[in-house]
Amino acid sequence: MAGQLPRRIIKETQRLLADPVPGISANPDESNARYFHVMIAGPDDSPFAGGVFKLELFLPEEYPMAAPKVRFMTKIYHPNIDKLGRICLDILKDKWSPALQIRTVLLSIQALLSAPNPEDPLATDVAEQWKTNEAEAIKTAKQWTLSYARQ
Amino acid sequence: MPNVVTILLQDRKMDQRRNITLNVDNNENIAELMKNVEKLTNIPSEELEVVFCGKKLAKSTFMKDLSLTPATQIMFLRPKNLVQLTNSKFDSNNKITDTSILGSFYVWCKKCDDVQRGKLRVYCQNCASTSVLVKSEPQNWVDVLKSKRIQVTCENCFAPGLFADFKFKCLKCNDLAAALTHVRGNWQMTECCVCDGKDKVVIDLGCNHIICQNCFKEYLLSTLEEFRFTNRPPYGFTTSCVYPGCNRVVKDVHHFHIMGQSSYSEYQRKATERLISIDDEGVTCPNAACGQSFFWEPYDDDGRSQCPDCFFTFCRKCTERECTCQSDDDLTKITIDATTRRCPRCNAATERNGGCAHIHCTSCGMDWCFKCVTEWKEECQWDHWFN
Repeated sequence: MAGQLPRRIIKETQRLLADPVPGISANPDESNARYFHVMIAGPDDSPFAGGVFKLELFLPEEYPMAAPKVRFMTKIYHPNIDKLGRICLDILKDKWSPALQIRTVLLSIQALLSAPNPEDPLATDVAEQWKTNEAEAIKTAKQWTLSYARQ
Repeated sequence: MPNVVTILLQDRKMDQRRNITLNVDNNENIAELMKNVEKLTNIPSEELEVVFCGKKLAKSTFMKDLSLTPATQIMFLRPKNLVQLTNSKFDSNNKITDTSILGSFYVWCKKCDDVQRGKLRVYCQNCASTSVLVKSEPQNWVDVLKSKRIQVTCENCFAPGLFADFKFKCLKCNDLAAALTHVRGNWQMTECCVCDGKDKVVIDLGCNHIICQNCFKEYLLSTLEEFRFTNRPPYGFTTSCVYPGCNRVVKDVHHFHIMGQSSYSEYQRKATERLISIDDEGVTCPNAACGQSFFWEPYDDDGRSQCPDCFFTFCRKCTERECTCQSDDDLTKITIDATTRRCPRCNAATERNGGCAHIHCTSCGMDWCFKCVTEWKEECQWDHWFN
C-alpha cells in the first residue's frame, strides 16, 4: 500500500476543493498529496482581522488514526501558538479522533484565533501578557498581524 | 439441498421417547417435516408440536432458516393432552418463530479466526438437554448473556425451577463462539464515520456512530500502540467510541479479537501489567526474558517473591535476586528516588525532563501536578505553569 493514497484522503481533498470553508483555503502540494498549503483569514471579531495566515498541514502515514500535523508559517502573537508556529490544540493531540477531518481541524484553528485560551498556553510569555494586560496583548497581536500577515 | 436432522420424539401419550434421523430438504417447511415424521411413526401430525431453540415452531417455518447441522436436535413433542398445550401461553404469542434470534447477530469464532454470523442455542441448565421450552422470550442481550434470566421447562429432566443455558455458535463452522454485542448488520447502509465506506457489517457501541470493521481494527491497533485503553470496571481495560466527545465504551473485550490473535495477546499482556501495577499486591517479574505480571501472596512474607512463570526469585523492593535494599551503594535506587516523583494514583516513577508541571501519566492516564504531586487543579494551572 506504500505510496498509494487512501480513498479517504482523496475524498477529503476533493471536498475541500469543491466546497471550501469560508475564510480557509487548503491546497495539496503538487508533489506530495499528503502535504497541504493552508491559508486562514483572521476572523473579523479578533485582533487577527485583516491578516491572512499561512499554515502547513501534513497527513502522516497513520492518518486518520493519528492527527494531522499542523503549523503556522506566518508569525502570530497568540498564547496558544509558539514562535515555531506549533499549535496547542487538544484535538491535535490527545483528543484526536479518526472521525475528525482536515476540515474540522482547520475550523478549530480558525475558532482558536477568535478565542485565545491563555489557560492552556504554549507561548507562556504571550499567555502571561494576555492574562495580566489583555488590552496590551491585543494591541501587540494587531501590530503583528499588520507587520507579518498582510496580504 | 438435502440435510440430515436428528429428531428427538418425546411421546408423553405413550410414555416413550425415540430418536429419528431424517433426510430433509432445506426448502421444506415444518409442516412437511411433520408429514414425514407421521409417515415414519404413524403419529398423526396434529398431535405433534415441534420445539426448537426453546420455542414452538410455526408450520410455515423453513428448514433453511434454522441453521441446522447434523448434530442439531429438533424435539417433537406429543403431549398427553393436546388441548392443554395448545392453550398454553406459547401459543397465545403469534410470533412464535422469531428468526432474528436464529442468525442475525455476530460472534467471534476462534476456529475461523474471524467475525462470523452466529446462532443461538438453548439448553437445560440442569441436564444440558435441548428438549426445553422457554417460558418467556429473551428480549435483549442481557437476557441471553446473564444466567438465570429466562425460565424453561425441560421435557427431559422435568426438574422444577429451571433456567435456560444459552450458547452461541458460529454459523459457518458450528464451533462455540463468543457473542459480539456491538457488531450488527448495517440495515440503513450508514457511512462509516472514519472512511465513509458502506459495509454490510459494522460496529455500533449503542450510540449509532457507525464504524466499519476495518477502521475499527485500525483504531484498536493504534490504541494498542500507546496502550490508550483505560480501566473501566466492570468492563476492564477498554476504549471509547471513535466519535469525538462520545463516551460509549466497548463493553466486552471479546471485540478486541478483531485486532488479530497476536495483537489481542499483546493487549491481554499489557492490560494485566497495568492492572498489576495499580494494585499493591501486584508485581512484575524483573527477569528480562520473562516480564510476567502476577499477584503475590500477602501471607508469610519476607519481601521476596517467586515468579510463577519462570521461577525467578527476587526482592520486590529492589527487584534484585540478592537484595540490595539495605546496602548504601544502591546508586540506581538513590538516583531514581532523587530524580523522580511518584504518580499520586499509580505510583509510577515519573521524571520531568522538560515542559510544564502538568503531567499526564502514561501509565494510568491521570493528570497531576509535578509541584504539588496531587491531581492537576485550576490553581496549579494558574500558579505552577510559569515556574
